[in-house]
Amino acid sequence: MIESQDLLSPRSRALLALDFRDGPLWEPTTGLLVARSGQRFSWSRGASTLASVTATGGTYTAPDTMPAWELASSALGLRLGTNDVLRENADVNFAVGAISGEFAFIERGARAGTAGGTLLALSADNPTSGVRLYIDTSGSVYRLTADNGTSSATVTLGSGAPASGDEVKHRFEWTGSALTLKQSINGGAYVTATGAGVALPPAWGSLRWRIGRRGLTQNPAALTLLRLLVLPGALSDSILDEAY
Amino acid sequence: MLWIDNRLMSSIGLAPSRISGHLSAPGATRVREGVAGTAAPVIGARGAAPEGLIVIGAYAKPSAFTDRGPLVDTIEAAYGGGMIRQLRTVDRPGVTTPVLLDGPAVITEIPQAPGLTLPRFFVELKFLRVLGGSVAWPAAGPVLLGTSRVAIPGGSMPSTGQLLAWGYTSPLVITYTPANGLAATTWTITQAVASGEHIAADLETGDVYLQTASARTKVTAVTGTRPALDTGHALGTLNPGLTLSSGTGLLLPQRRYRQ
Repeated sequence: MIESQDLLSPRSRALLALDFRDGPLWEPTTGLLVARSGQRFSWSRGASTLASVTATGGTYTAPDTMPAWELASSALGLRLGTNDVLRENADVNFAVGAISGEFAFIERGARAGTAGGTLLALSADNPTSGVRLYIDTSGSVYRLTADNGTSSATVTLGSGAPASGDEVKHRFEWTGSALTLKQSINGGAYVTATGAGVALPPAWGSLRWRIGRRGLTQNPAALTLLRLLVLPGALSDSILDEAY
Repeated sequence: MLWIDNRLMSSIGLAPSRISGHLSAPGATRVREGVAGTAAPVIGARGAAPEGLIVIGAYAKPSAFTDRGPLVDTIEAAYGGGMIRQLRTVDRPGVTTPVLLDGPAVITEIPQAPGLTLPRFFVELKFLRVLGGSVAWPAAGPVLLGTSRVAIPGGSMPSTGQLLAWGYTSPLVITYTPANGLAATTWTITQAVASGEHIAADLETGDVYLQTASARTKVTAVTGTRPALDTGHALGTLNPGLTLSSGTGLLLPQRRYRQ
């Protein structure tokens, strides 16, 4: 039996699964990108192009209004320059609890860029206060910060410096009592940074997932997004390996 | 003509003369055995093969084989190994059927006229049609399109996806060129794009949208036939292609699954 699928229906049981390896999921009438888990994401770049994007057959310059779809690791990725904004279209709607996640991307120079450049964030439009969780760079290595609105904790990778073009996989976990960030470069062994966390907040509030920045405009970083998975609970690597 | 794994049978020295059984149905349709019109029939059928079997009869070219041993070795190397193979015929180019070689080849020596010493063989191959599993179009990432013909990535099923285009002079004519001798099709989109704007076409529905800095509107002036993106339109290793009348484009294939 061969059946076509409703490509916009949720195909993941994760809290969030943003993954374009099977092709772009989009809402034709709005142009919003649709996660496998059903959430929609808005994208914009303002009045600027993005050059040297790789595709089968050559590179191209993406026009202002077009997401820069890129051939990355033999799959479809979304190239994000520092002017690109990709954020969830509505506030997160899952209950507060320990969360784990996997974030796969192609390094495009963010690590060695300006300290604070943010790969991934769960934050409000104004990210300078309140609850937030984000992976940013110290200027030399990546680090994970959790802030419950009152106090914060940060764990920093002691080693591991992906070069531009490397395929990087981050796994993160915030349980309340502990905070963990793992990094694998080009399929290598994970390097782990772990430390005491801060208590989970009573509510997430008006937070949204964002790729390549924190808040509306703050702390931009360039990368090629391959995959973001967020799951409930503190999960082992083997379970995350099976998540989709 | 008959291809297995996108390779003509004749390329290994076999000249197929008959085939029986049923191929898989084209994508996105259900198959029910025995219901007329739901499974794709094949030409040259000599009667129904046992359920789930596809039987191919072929002559071994005398220039390629003078003995049974090399013939068996060639067949095993090309079609054996317990691997799922993709079978396709020229009369149903849009249908690719996953199959497994089932049992040994039956080789019959053809009686020759007196005085001829070169043996000639007829081979009967049984393939088991494989249902289930997953055969997917590989969403091979974005493919850059332009005013020269660009071959679209190989796969095992017809695909859909998005086609984005920018920097062209309206009307934009998208030409889809099958490689197997079928006629080319054209799809014409009459919609000007300014610098920075692009159009996004949904190849499943044929809907086309213009994206400007401030708005997204549906394009109504769309005529012709939208690209099929069917790897059944390949010929051997040559894939079907897309050509734009002007500007630049990006094809984003959408993976689809066989279940």
